[in-house]
Parts: sequence; C-alpha cells; structure tokens
Amino acid sequence: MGRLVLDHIGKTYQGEPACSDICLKIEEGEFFTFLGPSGCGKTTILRLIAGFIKPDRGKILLDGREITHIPPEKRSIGMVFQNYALFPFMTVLENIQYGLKLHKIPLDEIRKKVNHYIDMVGLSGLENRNMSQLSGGEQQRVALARSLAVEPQVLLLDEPLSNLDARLRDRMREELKILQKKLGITTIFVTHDQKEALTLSDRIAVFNKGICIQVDTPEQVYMSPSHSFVAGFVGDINLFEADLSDGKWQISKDISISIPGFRGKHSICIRPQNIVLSRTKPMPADFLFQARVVNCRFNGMTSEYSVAAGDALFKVAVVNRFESEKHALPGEITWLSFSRDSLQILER
Amino acid sequence: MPVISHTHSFLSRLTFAFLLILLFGYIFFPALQTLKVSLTGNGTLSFVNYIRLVSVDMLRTPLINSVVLGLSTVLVCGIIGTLLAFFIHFFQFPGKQIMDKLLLLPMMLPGIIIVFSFVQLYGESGLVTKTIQILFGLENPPFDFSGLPGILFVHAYTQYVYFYISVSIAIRHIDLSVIESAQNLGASKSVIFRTIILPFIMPALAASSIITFMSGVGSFTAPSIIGQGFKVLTTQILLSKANNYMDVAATQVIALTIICLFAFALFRWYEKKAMFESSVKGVAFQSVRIQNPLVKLLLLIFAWAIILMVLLPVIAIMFLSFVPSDTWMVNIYPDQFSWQNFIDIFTRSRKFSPFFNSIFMALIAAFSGVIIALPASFFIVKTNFRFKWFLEMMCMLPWAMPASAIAINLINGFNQKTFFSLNHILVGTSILLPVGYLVRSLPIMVKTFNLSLGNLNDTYIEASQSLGARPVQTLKRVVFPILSPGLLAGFLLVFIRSIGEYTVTVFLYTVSNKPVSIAMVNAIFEYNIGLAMAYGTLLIIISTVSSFAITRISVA
Repeated sequence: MGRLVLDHIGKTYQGEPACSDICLKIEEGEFFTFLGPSGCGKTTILRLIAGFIKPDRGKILLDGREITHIPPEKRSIGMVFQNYALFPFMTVLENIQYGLKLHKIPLDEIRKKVNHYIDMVGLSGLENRNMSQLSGGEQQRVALARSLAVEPQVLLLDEPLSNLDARLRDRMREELKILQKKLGITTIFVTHDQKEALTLSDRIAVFNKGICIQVDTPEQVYMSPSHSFVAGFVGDINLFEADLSDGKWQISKDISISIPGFRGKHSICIRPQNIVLSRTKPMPADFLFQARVVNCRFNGMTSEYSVAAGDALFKVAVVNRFESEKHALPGEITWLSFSRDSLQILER
Repeated sequence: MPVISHTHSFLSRLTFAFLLILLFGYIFFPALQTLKVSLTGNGTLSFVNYIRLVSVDMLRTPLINSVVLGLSTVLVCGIIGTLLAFFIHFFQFPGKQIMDKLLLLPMMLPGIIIVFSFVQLYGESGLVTKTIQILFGLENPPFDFSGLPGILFVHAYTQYVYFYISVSIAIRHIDLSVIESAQNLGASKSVIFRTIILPFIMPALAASSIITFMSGVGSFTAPSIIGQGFKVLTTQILLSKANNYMDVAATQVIALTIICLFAFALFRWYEKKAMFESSVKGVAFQSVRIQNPLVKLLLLIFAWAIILMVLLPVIAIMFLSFVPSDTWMVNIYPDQFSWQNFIDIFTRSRKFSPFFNSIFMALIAAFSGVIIALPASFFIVKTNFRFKWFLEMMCMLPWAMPASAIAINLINGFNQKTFFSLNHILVGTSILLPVGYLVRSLPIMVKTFNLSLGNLNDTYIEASQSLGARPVQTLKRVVFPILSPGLLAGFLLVFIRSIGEYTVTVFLYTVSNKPVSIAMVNAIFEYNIGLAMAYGTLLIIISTVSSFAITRISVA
C-alpha cells in the first residue's frame, strides 16, 4: 500500500504561486524524485503531501482515500527533514521510540521494532548517545530510523543528503536505495542534485517555477528531455536556439546543417559526450564541420573542450584514456562530428 | 575559542599577576575578612555566631524569610514571565514588537525608583489604591501593600524579565521542523507542547529560576522600604551593621552568600550537564495568526492592559515629578504642577550634588571597570595562562554575592590598613562606594567583553597583517571596530547599574558623596515626593537613553 495521487494541486503564497496544477501518480513501492532548482516548489509540494500546509486547490489521495484535509499526525506519511529535526534533548533510542510511544504500541513491541530499525540503519551501540555526540551521517540514520519505525505508507525525504560531505553522501545514497528496495516503501525524495536523482529514482518529476515540466524514468529524463529546461538542468548539455524555418540549422555564417521536418524556432540540444572531437578529418558522419579549440579543462575522467564554430560555442567531453594521448590545444583547428540521433530538437 | 598567544611576554605576565592581586584584594580578601569576623565570637575562633543564627528566633526568622522570599519570587515571576513570553511569541497581534521591547523596561529602571513609584501607586495612600477606594466606596484600602505580598508585587514587576527574556530566546530557538517532525510522527498539539516545547524551554526555566532566586534572596530595596514586619537577611545585615554588631552582620552575609553560591553552583552544574545544543537550522518557530475577531480583540485588550501595567510606574514618577513640594499633602490627587523640582535640582547645589555624585561615581565605576575587565577578558578568552580559571572565578564571584554582602565584605576588608589599599583605611572615604559599584558590576562587564573578544577572530588580525598593516593600524582599523560595540555596551551597562544603585550605596556612602538614591529616600521621608520623583525622572531618562544606546550598539 502507498499509492499517492496529486490531483490538480495548487498553492499560492501572498499572490505568488508556489506550485500550480500539479498532477502526479506515484505508485506503490516506487522511489519517486522531485528534482528542480531552489525555489521551484518541490519542498512546498512535499509539505502539502505531509499535511503541514493545505493546498488552495486540488486533492491528495492515498490509496484512493482523500487525505487533503487530514492533519499530518493522522496521515501515515513519514518524513525525514533536510536538517533531520531530531529532538536535541532525547537520546538516539528516545528519538526512535517517540513515534511508537504515541501510537500506543505495547512496550515489548516497541523494543523489538526499535532494535530492528537501529540494526537496519547501523546504529547499534549508539542507542544512548545524545544528538550532539553523533556525526552528520549518524544523525541522518537516526532521522531515517525514526521515520521508518512508525511504518508509514509513504516516506518523504526532503534533501536528506544535502548536509553530508561528498564521500558520505555517496555511501548514504547507496544505503538509502538498498533500504528502500528492501522495505518496498513508497518514497518521495526531494533534491536539486541531478546526479542524486538519476542514481536513486525509479521516476523523476522535474519542476521549475512551481510547474511540473516532465515526469519520466531517469534514462528518459536524461536522454529524451521534453523541454529545454529539463535538458539544461539534468546533465551537461549544449543548448542552442535555432530558427529551422528553412529546414536548416545555421550554426555560423559558413556552417549550416540540414534538419528537415521542423519549422520555426526550436531549441537544439546535444550532450557533450555525443560530439566527437578529432585532430584529423574523421570518417564521414551525419554532421561534420571544422571548429577551433578555445579552451580545454582537465576533469579527471574526461577533458572538457570549448570549441568554436563561428559564433557557436560547443562543449565537448573527451574521455581521458592514456597519458601519452595528445590533446588538442587552444587555437588548434579540429573536426567536430555527431550523429542525427544525438540531437534533441525541442519546441521553444 | 581561539588562543592567539602561546608564549607570554614579561609585560603580559606582569599584567596578569597585577590583575590577580587586584581582584583577590578587592573581591576575595574582603570575603575572607567577613568569614574571619563571622568566626570570631568572644574574641576567639568560634561558631557561636552561626549557632545563634540558626537557634535564636530573631536571627533565624530572617534567614527563613529570605529563602521563602527567593522561592516565592521564582514562583510568581516564573508564572508571569513564562506566560508573557508564550503570549508574545505564540500569537500574532498588532503592536507585538513594541510590546516585546516595552516588557524589558523594568530591567532598565533602578530598583529604588520602581519601589517608590509602586508606593505612590499602590501604597496605603497610593493613587491606584485611593481611586479604587473612591470608585467602590470602600472604607479601608482594598489591599495591603506591605510585607511579603508587597515585596512580591514589586519583585513580580522587576524580576519577571529574567524569565521573559530566557523563555523568549528558548522559544525563538525552537526549530519549526522539529515540531513538524513530531506532528509527522503522530503527536497531537497537546503532546507536542508537553513532549517537545516544554523540554525545549526547560533549560531556560531552570536557569532563570536560579537567577531569580539569587536576585530575590539578595533583594534589599523592596524589603527595606515596604517590608515592615517581614524581615529578611539583607535588611537585618544593615540593622546589625548600624548597631555595630559586625560579627552578626558578617555571619548573616556568609549565610546569604552560601545560599546564593549554592544556587549559583546548581546553575553552573545544570548549565554544563543538562543543556543541549539547539539551533534553528530550518525555519524558526512561527507565531499563530488569530482568525476569530473576538479572540483577536480580547488579545489586543490584554496586550494593552499589560503595556499599561508596565508603563504605569514610569508614568506615575514622571507625573509626580511636576508636583511642587508642600502642595500635595491633603488632597487625594495632586492639583498643582510646575518645573520647580527640576529647577531646584539644577540651581541649588544641595539638591544638585547627589545627582552629580551619582553620575560621577557611576562614570568612575564604568571607566575603571573597562580598565580592569578588558585585560581580564583578554586573558580569559585569548590566552592559555595556567591560572586564568582563577582569574575568571574572581571576576564571576560577585555574581553569586548579593549586593549587601559585597558592601559588608568591603567594610570588613578595608576598615583597616591593608596591602591592597596601599596601607590606607578606605571605610569612611569616598572611594569605597565606586569600588562597590565596580565589584557588583564586574561579572556582567567581563561577560560582555568575553563575547566581544570571542567575536574577534584571530584570522582578522592575520588578514590585516598579511595586507601590510602595522600593529597600530591593525589595532585601530580592525581590532577596535570589532571590540568597540562590546566595550561601549559594557561601559553603559555598568553606568546604568550604578547610577541609581541603592543597596551597596546605603552601606557605603558618606556625607561627602551622598548619591541620588539616598537623596530620593531622604526626600520621601521629608514628604518632598515631587523632588524624589524628579530625581527618579532624571534617572529614568539617563537609563533609557543609555539602554537605547546599548540596543543601537548591539544592533550595529
């Protein structure tokens, strides 16, 4: 159980819409992510689902039952807050027990459940510690165990990894995914980190300015963005505005490539890793033209080139394989090639 | 806390040693002298004074009364201050910000002024008392403003602020997400209040209880003026001293100090053990907007009633300061008003000198306070001297000593020639009173300076040096701008606390440095109420302007 439906939900703050006409169906056991920049309305929607704020319009249904006006404490929806919101005057054990005690569960059962979830999140031995004696990762585990212990139908995670350092964040991301699959709990995860969203989610909803732009699997969101905002927000991309009225994309004065089947202004997107940069003329490709290297940045696994074809500046990612490999230098004239399939042409 | 000095120059060692000797001489040594006097019975070392203190009714009753007064003050002020803090921070209503500021007003006013204004309002012939009597046609005053209830009434007004401030801060530190997480886990509003909000404010309640208890036990002004039959240790100390029973006075001082030290130790223990770290990482607690118009109106009426209660004593003082001497003897309400009292103060040297003395001595205390507290704070915050804990203890010790104890200690310490007074007897000289003011305010000044020095991150100095600034330039352009708000705030705090001070004053003043608080009491007993109130008005103006300056400095 835990199928959640948002039916035309809207919320306005002082005349400014925080979210508008949100329609989402989140399936039972799904790991669903709200992805978007700060202030796009994702946390507002999460708080609407939790019941901390009431929508101005629309309905929220959990397993077919309308919960729009049910107070948060009666919704059976757990939440892990961005700052964990742990009770600072309680120990680890007391924090996790808190919700169970409120549900008037027999003491024996409380003990069993608390031990179970403490083991599950790897907090054994820290039961009697105060919050100030825990690391960020441990605090995050307490918050997770506390929410899971009451066995909610839906778990809401409000950027729970944002306060952790990069290494710990990677580890916790893995653990979170494993835990969610093990428990099969419907989970809604809020983040502005596209990598986090792509790694963890079964499906992603991308938000901008309070509007849900695209709902899809991580692969689809990345490979087939439906909107230039999604294309630009999820992953690195080359994004060009083009008038395709004559069936051509005029890259620069001298370079144009034929894109038949489109009319009017469009956004053309291509991922940096889908462009091939060659120092010598390569094998024929769908699109091939010469361009000058402006800049090269070494990023470890890849090198990122800025390459100019007339006024158009392309970002190109080249995988670094061998130290002996010779890289193109700034000012050098190179060849750029890519296939038609790698182009995404989106309505503006 | 950053420590900028690991090796100590000869000059800093010398300064540290000088400070230790000075503070020992004027804080610890006088206390030891009092202890010595208290243990001297029949010319030999004995506990006879202590045995008498707990066995003789006349001596034991004030001891018990002091504890009763301290506990009752905690109860009354706890209820009022906590309810007001919840009222202000839980609800949204117009004028809330102003009310929040006005509720701090009693803290700025010298105690003696408040007591006199209360007498003029609620005493047997007080304006409020007489008005109620006339309105309801009562033969006798509707309430008796004397003894324990009267003292508690004054304490309720002057000391609820401790609870109000600390509970307000605690409420402001409640993270909204913590409340929401409890709600999310199934807690109802009442459960959230009991299991989340109360534990959050418990440290604040405990801390303010102890501070209020110490303040209540050490209270002198209200018990001495309206206490009548309700004798407490502080008033009895003055009586013992006036009758030259210095051994009895010393024993009472030691008893009072032990009670306060016990409370102080409890506070420090609680501070270390039971306090938890809380900080608003998400959204701070937000007050509730009242939708129901009737409830809204009732809240507003209540809010304005509170504001009136807080302002009434100040209004009364200012109002009565315009009543010329001898024109308000028979009538219930004064009917003649003029600037005469103020003109008298500024034109007649006999009336001006107490006012001048108070300002002068408060300035001496504040200036010398800066000279002593600044290096002391520096050693405490910025160095790793081995005995800096002792220095800190010396600076903080007067906080646990009631004002009357500080005064008696100084009398016992300097009624003879000592090394610390450069072989002079200080009792009977004008110097001892500003010393008393200074000792009394030293902890608050050191605390303020500690905060300022804590804000002076060593990297600022290093950054300035790395940009080529010479030490003097760094001091002028970086260090001083960071420290100056704290220094000025500390200076003004000591000045405000000293200018209308009464307790230390009554023990230590001499004819040549009679300050304004004593002049006010004399004026009241000479039925020159207008003059006393004019002094009061001037003190209120000075205190308010200084407090306003402190607030502006803190904001800046």
